[in-house]
Amino acid sequence: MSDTAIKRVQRQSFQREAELAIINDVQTALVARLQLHDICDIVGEKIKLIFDAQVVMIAVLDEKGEQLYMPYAVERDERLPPTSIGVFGFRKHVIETKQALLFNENIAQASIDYGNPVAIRGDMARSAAFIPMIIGDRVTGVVTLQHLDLEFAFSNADVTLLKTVTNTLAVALENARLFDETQRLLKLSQDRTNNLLMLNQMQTALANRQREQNIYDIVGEQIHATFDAQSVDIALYDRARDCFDFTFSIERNVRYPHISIANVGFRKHVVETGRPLLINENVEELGQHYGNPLVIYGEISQAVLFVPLMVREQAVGVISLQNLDRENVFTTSDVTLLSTLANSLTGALDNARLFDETQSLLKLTQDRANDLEMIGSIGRQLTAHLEQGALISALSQHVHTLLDVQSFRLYRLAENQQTLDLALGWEDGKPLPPMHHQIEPGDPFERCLNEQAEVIIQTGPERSSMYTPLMTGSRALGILHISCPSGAAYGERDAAILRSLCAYGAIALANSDALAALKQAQATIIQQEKMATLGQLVANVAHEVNTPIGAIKSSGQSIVGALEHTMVSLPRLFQLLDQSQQSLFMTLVQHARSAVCLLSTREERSVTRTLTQTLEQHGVRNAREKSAVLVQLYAHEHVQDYMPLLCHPASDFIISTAAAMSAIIRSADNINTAVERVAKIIFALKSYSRVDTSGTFCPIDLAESIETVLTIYHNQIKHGVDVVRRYQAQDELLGLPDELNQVWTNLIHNALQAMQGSGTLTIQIGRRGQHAVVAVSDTGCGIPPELRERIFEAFFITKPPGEGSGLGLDIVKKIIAKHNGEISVSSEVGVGTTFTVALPLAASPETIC
Amino acid sequence: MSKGVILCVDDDSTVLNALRVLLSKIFGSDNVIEIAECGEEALEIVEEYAAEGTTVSVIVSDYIMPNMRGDALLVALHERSPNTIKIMLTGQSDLEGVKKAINFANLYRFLEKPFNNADLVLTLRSALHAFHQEYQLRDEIRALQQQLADNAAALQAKEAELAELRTRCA
Repeated sequence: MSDTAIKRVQRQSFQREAELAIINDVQTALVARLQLHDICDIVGEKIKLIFDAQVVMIAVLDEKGEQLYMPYAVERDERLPPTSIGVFGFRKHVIETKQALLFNENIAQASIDYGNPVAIRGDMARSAAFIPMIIGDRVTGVVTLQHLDLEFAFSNADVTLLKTVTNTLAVALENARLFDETQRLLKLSQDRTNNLLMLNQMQTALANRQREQNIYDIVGEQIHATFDAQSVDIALYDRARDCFDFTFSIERNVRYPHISIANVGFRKHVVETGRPLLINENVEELGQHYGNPLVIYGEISQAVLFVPLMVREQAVGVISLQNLDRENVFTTSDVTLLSTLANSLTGALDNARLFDETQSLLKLTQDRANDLEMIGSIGRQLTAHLEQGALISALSQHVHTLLDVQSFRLYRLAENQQTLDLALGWEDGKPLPPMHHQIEPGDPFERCLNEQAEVIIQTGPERSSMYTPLMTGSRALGILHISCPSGAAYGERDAAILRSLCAYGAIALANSDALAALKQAQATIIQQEKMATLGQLVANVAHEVNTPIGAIKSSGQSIVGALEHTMVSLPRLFQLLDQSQQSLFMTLVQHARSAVCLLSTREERSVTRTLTQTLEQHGVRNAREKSAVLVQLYAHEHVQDYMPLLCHPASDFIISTAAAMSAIIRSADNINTAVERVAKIIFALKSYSRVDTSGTFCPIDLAESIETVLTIYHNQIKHGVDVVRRYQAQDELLGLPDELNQVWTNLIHNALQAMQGSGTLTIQIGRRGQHAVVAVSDTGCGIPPELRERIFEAFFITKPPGEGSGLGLDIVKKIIAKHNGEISVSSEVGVGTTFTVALPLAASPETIC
Repeated sequence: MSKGVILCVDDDSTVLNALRVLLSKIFGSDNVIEIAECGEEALEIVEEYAAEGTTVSVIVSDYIMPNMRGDALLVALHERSPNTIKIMLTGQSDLEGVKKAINFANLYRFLEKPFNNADLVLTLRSALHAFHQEYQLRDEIRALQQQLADNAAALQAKEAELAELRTRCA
């Protein structure tokens, strides 16, 4: 059996299988979206493998039918480069007749008959088969087999098989062409869409309609250019209105304006079935059948093609092609292509819609992000406020800026959980007076607290209110109630913003509450410590007060006694004395009242002693007694003037009466002095023990402040402590007088204890840069270096149990920190200790928290 | 008989003034009222009078005073002038100081400020009485001791006389 015969048998036996294999390969190629060349290569190689032929050629007819393009050509195993040839000879015949040609002999003669060149190139064929590629009724190309050595190389069976393969190839190539075309259109539309999207990003204002319209225009124009149709339109189906809106209409190159028409006729059918409708003949007649209006505008159509625009298996519109001149112009491939285009249009529209949605989502996201960022920054601002008033006012500002608010009411929830106290409220920009709201069951406040969520209600036909709880954890601190004069003014975004603001506000409020409580606790500790110190001082103070009171009491009683004496003795005395003696007596008594020179007891004693001798020399009786009275009357320097009285026979009586007068005067003076002393002590006590938690900074006179403390400690100091005061005039200093007193008390108290009652206490007030400096130095035992670090710690104590709380210097440090000041200590064991306090001058309360 | 001396010690001049006015009126006819602003001055006064041969009858001392507290003054004074009657007049004191004054200075009375004039006068009156009684007692004892000594001498003389008589008789 010859080689050729064997191949033929093989061909016959595997014909079916081979056919299937080719079709499979072609389909695989299609699935892989291979291009024209790939398909031709696959099919050509297959043909070469199956058939006994030295030449295999695949020629594809161009759209105009003028050129044959050969993507695949093999001659004697040599692959020839793709070329284009004219339409002539055998192939022209095949194309025209749509029939295959088979020559197994006399090809030279046939070539002449068919006007074919003997050989396009290389050897002349001995056998040849030309098979047309047919799609519908159209020839799209020619497949050629040639055997250069043998005549009768191809059987009828070969031709049949080759026809099948060629058909498959034709379909595949057509699909590929359509696919290419679709791809091209898609790409074109995609490019345009992309361009438009870019354009739109720059011109968001022109946004949606414009872009959609562009897509309709592009697609419409493309369809108009692609198909043999004078009229093209794109209509969108409005399901709600049950009508069509034309977004693109062209007829004989004239664009028509957009119109709407009812859902009737062909389009109604297409929309309902979701399938294309092709009518190539009798359009008018069928139009009546479908209830289609004859002409929308322009001419009557001869052939029409409608394809639906499908979005998720639902028709959203219809594209129609109309040929106004001829019938039977639209093919099934037109249907396919138009359907593809329709898909790409909906795809593009979907993209545009997606883009819009994405854009609007992006915008929303951006808005949200902006909102969040802004609220975050507001939150940071809010939580930075530690003073309730300031923070609520900041919250109010932000709410006012961000939301439509005519009335703002921020309530704090009272301890009893039943009453809301207005912390800040305004309406139309005017502050509201303080008010309370009793929470009633069912009122919005109660709902708001129960649900722990905002409550938005219409409080009138044209009034919206929103109640937002201020929560930390599950604890409600208050409620923010805002309202404005318009219906449904507050939406989810407003609620979200207010929720966030209130969350931050609540945190800040809780912080501020905590700080207030802390300050209160600190103030209480400071106050308690002060009172404890005061308690220790009470015994001292009692003595300080009792002493002058004892003097007052005694002097008062003495005055009464002396008055009784003088009431009786004065009239008698004046009977005894002549006119000049009387006036001399009055002058003597006057001395006591005009007393200027105060003598110490020592000086007084020495003066008395001298005077006694003088009087004795003058022979005055009871010289010692009389001298004492004269000295007490401050008359000792003028004793010669009073000799007439001293030498008077009734001199004892005269002087004792003068002494009584003197007692009255001196006692009264004594009472005044004592009362002043008591007043000073009371003042010191009062200014020391004053409870002032208002925390108001006021001008401080450091010297006065320290003197107050020294007055209270006078009793302990006078035991044996020298106080050295080095006070320099001081610039304006603001502080808490009460608490600074406590600082000096602690420092002076410690100093006195360190000196155990004797030594030198030096107090200096000076200035160092922008600070007032107070230094309290003692000559006491000093503080060992290992303890120096720890003395400012709370509950660190070096004193025996019962003396001191261990809080003194800790509190001192806290108070000074409150003033933005500093305290330092220097000490030498056995020499003494100096505490130095520096307080910033003109410190304003704003800089202190 | 020379006048007695009442000495008041207080660092507070108003108290001293009040005391002097009061005591001068009540006891001034028989006593010199001296005042001192501190313990040291008080001791000076006591020594001055001692030099003159006069014992301060009564001292009224404050307790809390600079440098020398009342208890220390009274103890020091007790060493110099044990017979002086010591009174403490104070608005504040501690038990230790009072104990010390009682045990080592033979404290006569303890008075509290603010004092009542009448109380103070009564106390001082009884103090002066005590001082004078003791003074008198001492004088009487001295007289009796003298008399005893005289009598003893006389007895000795008589016994010597008797012995001589016995010798003569024997």
